[in-house]
Parts: sequence; C-alpha cells; structure tokens
Amino acid sequence: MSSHKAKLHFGKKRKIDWFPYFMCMPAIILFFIFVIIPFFTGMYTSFFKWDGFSEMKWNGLNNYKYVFSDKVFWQAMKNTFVYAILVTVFKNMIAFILASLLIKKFIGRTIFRTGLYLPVTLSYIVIGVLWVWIFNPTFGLLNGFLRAVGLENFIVGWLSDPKVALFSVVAVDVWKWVGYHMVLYISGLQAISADLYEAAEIDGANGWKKLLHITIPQLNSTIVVNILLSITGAFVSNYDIVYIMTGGGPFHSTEVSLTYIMTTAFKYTAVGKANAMSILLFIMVFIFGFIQLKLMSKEENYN
Amino acid sequence: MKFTSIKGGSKMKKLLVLTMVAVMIMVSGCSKNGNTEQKSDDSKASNKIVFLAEVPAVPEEEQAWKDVAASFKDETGIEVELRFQGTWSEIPQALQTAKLAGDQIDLVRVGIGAIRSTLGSAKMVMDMTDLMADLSDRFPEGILNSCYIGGKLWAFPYADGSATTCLYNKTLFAELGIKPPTTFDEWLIISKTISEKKDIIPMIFQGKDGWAWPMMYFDTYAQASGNKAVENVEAFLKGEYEFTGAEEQKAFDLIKQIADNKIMTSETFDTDEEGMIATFSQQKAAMMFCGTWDYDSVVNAADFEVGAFEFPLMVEGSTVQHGFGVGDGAISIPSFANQDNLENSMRFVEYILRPENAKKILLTLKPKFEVVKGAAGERDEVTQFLNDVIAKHSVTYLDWIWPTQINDAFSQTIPAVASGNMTSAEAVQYVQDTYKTLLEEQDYSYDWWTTWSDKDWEMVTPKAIPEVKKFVK
Repeated sequence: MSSHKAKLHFGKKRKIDWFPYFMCMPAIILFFIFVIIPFFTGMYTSFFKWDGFSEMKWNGLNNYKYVFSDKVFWQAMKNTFVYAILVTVFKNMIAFILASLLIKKFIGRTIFRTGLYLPVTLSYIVIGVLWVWIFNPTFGLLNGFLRAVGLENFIVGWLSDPKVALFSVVAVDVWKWVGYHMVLYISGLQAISADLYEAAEIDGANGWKKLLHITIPQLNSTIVVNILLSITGAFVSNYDIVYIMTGGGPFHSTEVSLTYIMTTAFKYTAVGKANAMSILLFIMVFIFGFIQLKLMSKEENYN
Repeated sequence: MKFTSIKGGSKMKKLLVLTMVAVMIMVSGCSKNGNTEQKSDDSKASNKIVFLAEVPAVPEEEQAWKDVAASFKDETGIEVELRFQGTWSEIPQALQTAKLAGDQIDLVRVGIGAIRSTLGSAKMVMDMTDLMADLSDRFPEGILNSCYIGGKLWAFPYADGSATTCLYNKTLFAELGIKPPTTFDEWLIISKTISEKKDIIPMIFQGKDGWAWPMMYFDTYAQASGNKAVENVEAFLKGEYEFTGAEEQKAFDLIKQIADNKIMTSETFDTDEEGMIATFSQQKAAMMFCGTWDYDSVVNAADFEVGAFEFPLMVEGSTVQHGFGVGDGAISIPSFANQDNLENSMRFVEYILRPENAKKILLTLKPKFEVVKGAAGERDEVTQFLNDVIAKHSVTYLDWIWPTQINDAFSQTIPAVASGNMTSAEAVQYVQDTYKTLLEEQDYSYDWWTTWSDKDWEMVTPKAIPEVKKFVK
C-alpha cells in the first residue's frame, strides 16, 4: 500500500497504465468520427446553399435567416417542446403511481411488472404501426371500445384532427416508456429505509405527509434522472414515432423538429438550411438541459 | 474493479482482451450489406456493368432480373452486377453516395419526377435522346413522352404505368340496382343510397397519407382549369402565372364538396393505404378512390366482384381527366458513368427491351399497362377499362412536374380544406408562398435546362453514341 501511495504521489515519476486508455480508445474514436466530426461538418455546411448533389455555394448567415422566418420550423419547435413537457410529466407521474402500487407484494405482481415493461422492448416502428391500427376509425380497437360502451360521442379524428393528433402521439410515447421509468422508481422506492416511515407513523403522519416529507425527498435523485431521461429522449427520439404515425401532419400539427429537419435535408434537398436548423436545435436543447440540470441537481436536494 | 487489481501477472489477460477487441473490430469492418456486392474497379470499358435500383417489390422480379442478367452474360460475355438497395425514394441519395465514393454505376432506376426536380438540374443523369433513338420503336406510341424534359430524353420507362381511378363493389351495386356515377349529382345520389340502405361508407380514400391527396387534386384541377392543368402548372413554375386564381381555388372546393356531401366521410382522414384497402375489401365502403397500383391488393383480398369507373364530372363544360404516369421506375444513365462502358450499358438496355426479356421482368409486376412492346399483362375487365378509358383520358401527374416542396404544400392544404380547417383561398396562397420561398431559398428554376452553358451540357452528353442496331437479334 505504501509503495502504491508513493507511486501516486505528485511530482514523483510514476508509471502510466496505458491499458484503460487503449480500452476506451475505440469508443472515443467512433464518437469522434460519428459525432464530433459530423457536428462540425454540419456547422460548416450550414453556411452554404447545398442540395446534396451540386457544388456548395457560400450563403453566409442566410440559412439562419431562412430558418428564423420559417413558420413551419417554429411550429415544429413549439410542438417539440409541448411534446417534451407532456411526455415528461405524464411518464413520470404515471410511472411513480405504478411503482407505488407495484412495490407492494401481491399475487401476480411480477406479471403486471413484466406486462408494463413489455412495450419498452418493442421498436418505435412496431409501436407506431400498431397504434395506427388501434386508432383506425373503422377497425380500430379504440373506436370499437368507445362504441361498445356507448361513448361514441368521444370518438374524434385521433390522428387527423389537428387539435388532437399531437396528444395521440404523446399518449403512445408515454405508453411505450412508462414501464422503463416505473422500474427506476421501483428501485428508488426500495432504497428508502422503512425506519423513516415507521418513525413518521409514530409521529402521527398520514399518507400524504409521508409522501411529501419522506418519499419525494428521498427519491429526488431518481426523479432527476427520470426527468432528464424523459426530456432528452423526447427531444431527440421522437422522429420514428411521428414519422410512422402521422408523418408530421395533419397540417404540421404533429411536426417536430427532427421530422422537419429530415424533410428539409433529404426531401427538399436543402441540406444547408437543415444543418442550420440542427445547430439551432442543439443550442436550444443544450440551454434547456443545462438549466434543468442546474435547477434539479442542487446539493441541498440530496440531503 | 480497480485496474491495479489486474496487475501483476495479468499481462496475458490484457493481451487476450486486446486481441478480442481487435478481432471484433475486424469482423465488424468486414460485414457486408445483404444487397450490395463488392465494389467494382472504375476502369475503362470493363467487361461489367453495374445496375443500381431499389429492392424489387416482389421476389419474382429480382429473380427475373438475375435470370436475364445471366442470359445476357451468356450471349455477350458482359457481366451485370445487380445492385438492389433501399427503397425507391432513397435511390437519389444512393446515387449521390456512389458518385462521392467513386463507385461504378452504369445504369440506375429512378422516378422521372426525381429527375425533373433534382437529379436533372444537378446534372446527375445523362441525356439519352440520341442513345435511345434506335430503340424508341420498342415502346408503344406515347409511352416515352413522360420521360422527356426540355425536349430531351433523360430515361426510359421500365415498370408499370399507373393512373388514378375509382374502384367499386360491383356485386353490391348490382344488389342495390345502382350504376357507377358519371357526374357529381349521380355520385351524390348513389352515395346516399349506399349510406341509407347499407349503412356503410360510400367512398373511402387514404386521407391519412398526405402524399395521396394531390392525386385527387389532379382530377379536380383538370376539370376546374378547363383541362389546362399542365399548362397552368408549368406557367406557374416559370413564374408566369399566380396559383391563387378562381380555378385553383375551385379545385380545392370540389374536394371539399365531396367531403361536405358525405361521399367521402370523416373516416377517410384517419385511414391510410392499408386501412383503405381493408375497408373496401371488407365491404365497409362501397367505393374507393386510389391508384391503379392498389388494384391487385384489392382483388386478392375482396370476395366480391370489383369494377372501376372514372372520377365523375364535376364541372360543366369540362372533360374528365386523370393523373397518369409511365416513369416511376425509369432507367437512366448516371452522368458520371464510365463513358467507355457506354456500349456495354446500351447493349444491356437493348437486351432488356427485347419483348421476350421485357416479358420475363415486367410480367412479375402484373402490369396494368403495356409499357414495353410485347410485355402486356393479362387483362381483365378492370385493366381493360384502365387501358381503354382511363389511359386515354389522362394527363401527366402534376407531382412529376412541380417540385417536392409544392407537392408537400398540397399534401398539407388539401385535407385541411376538405376537413374545414382552412379555406381554399388560404390554401392557394400557401402554395404560392411556398413557391416564393423555393425561389428565394433554393434558387429554384423550373426550366433549368434553359440556363445551362455548353460546359453544363457537356457533363450530361455522351461523347459517342454506340451503334445499338448491330446488337439487335
């Protein structure tokens, strides 16, 4: 041990163990090639007018000017933020409630936990196609159920009504991921010491007070992680589900930033403008994530 | 685990781990895409041609291509590498990737719409006018027209043609004693009869698929414009015509009229293509507005007799016209193809245009229209109707003329107008504004071929025209 300490002492010659660096190198190289380089290439391309086929033409800040004046882009950004907030709130609320129910021991608990987690294992493509059929007005299970229970008045254009479509997609995303967040909440709840609840009971605390003063504070780190995962997932992983379910319609009511960027780059062949959009999206998500992390990760939250 | 804990006698373990990582990297780097084969050397006049196309829709088509390629090699000694990859809409990107990678691509199958909107103006494909001069008699009259842009031939069609049409449940119509409509008034009466007596949807359409709505607009705008749809659109794209006039608005209003009168009900807006076919096939709808490419799926699924009728006349004094196109699967030559290999490429083109070979490949698609002479599919009553009536009352698909952005504008605004979320005046203004944005942001030019210099033309013009006739057998 003393020789080990001697080796680690600053200013003294120490042998560097290169092995861990070699082990990390492939991941770092891949990260550099597939994330860092494309990011800066995209930033560079955002100053050019380019259709992906012809020569690039210098365009200065015009692409950014086009993006700022593009109403569809700002609608897509608004939809993205609404999507992120709704998905985060509902995923966490529902997951917490389910975790609270499924942490208790009862017969069949494992089946329920497994069943709730199953959608997490399905790809967005499968889920999108599945729910398009569930929402189908003629054959869909949803309308069929509503008709069967006499609630026909509640039938709407789930994916065709601009006022409803985005919420339908949000509901599907929440349904897919709630099991995942539930598992995280279950592990967080299991880590809370039972002594705290016993002590609270002795002091006469009711269920509500136990929730507010014991459960939530103790779960803070789990809540932070869940919210962070929900928000970042909502910003960067909504392309597949929106593309499959609505394609961004009706009338851009479900258009999110990723679908519009992809459409602009590959369908409209305005690669420079699409890269400008990507840079702006990155900046917004970075700021949003930074603020969220700062607010929710304060030292006193972990006391 | 601390790395120090694996020190001391664990050099062998480190070596084993490093070896494993190296092997994994090598194995992943050697993995092949299932549909691509080894890259060819870009050499002069190689004894090999590379044909890039989307993955065939049916396995029989892929096998037919392989058989024809094999027999071509037997006859000529020239190998054909069939590079089937991705979907039809991904081919332009695949072509660009191949160009950047320096890959040999001698022939490519791509939609004529993509050539008009993107590949042509980017000088990615070759002018085939002189190359195909000796082979134009392999096509029925008029078939090559859709592949001409700016007076030059940029590709030749080699897939089924398609059109918009209305299918109906002939058995149900006979039961109800009604006939297919020819006018809007008849259509309205028939729809009410169907709703009242059978309580099913009169007509279903794939309204959830935004891209499909312009199909209906082709038909209504043809009538609303007095059958000048193509001329108006061309003038609009050249900046000589504003798309905000009464005719343009009327075409939107005609679609709204169909929806308001419950010929097409609210179910349409939530139904995609598969849902539309299922709804019609399971007799939850009596009529279906669709593309002819859906006909085979309907016939396979329906247990009733299927008939077809033309989109009814909705504007007095006008004539019914339908969107029609032969060129979705057109074959072209990339401009960056090795010109020394051009003779080999044209030999293969001549070979696949021989009736016996065209039959082998094209009949796997169960074609509705005869695109290459001698390769006509079996005709039933509906397909005969499509050829005798629909094809003869047709106009080029407008979305093969206007760019993708304009098509998307229609895809968004037509259902918005039909469902009452937008007025037709707002819709036409939206289309006009989209055009203005296109001009400003992407330097859009409809007749891009008129702006080319001699140097530009040199990039797309073959240096020598092979004598195809000497290979004809």
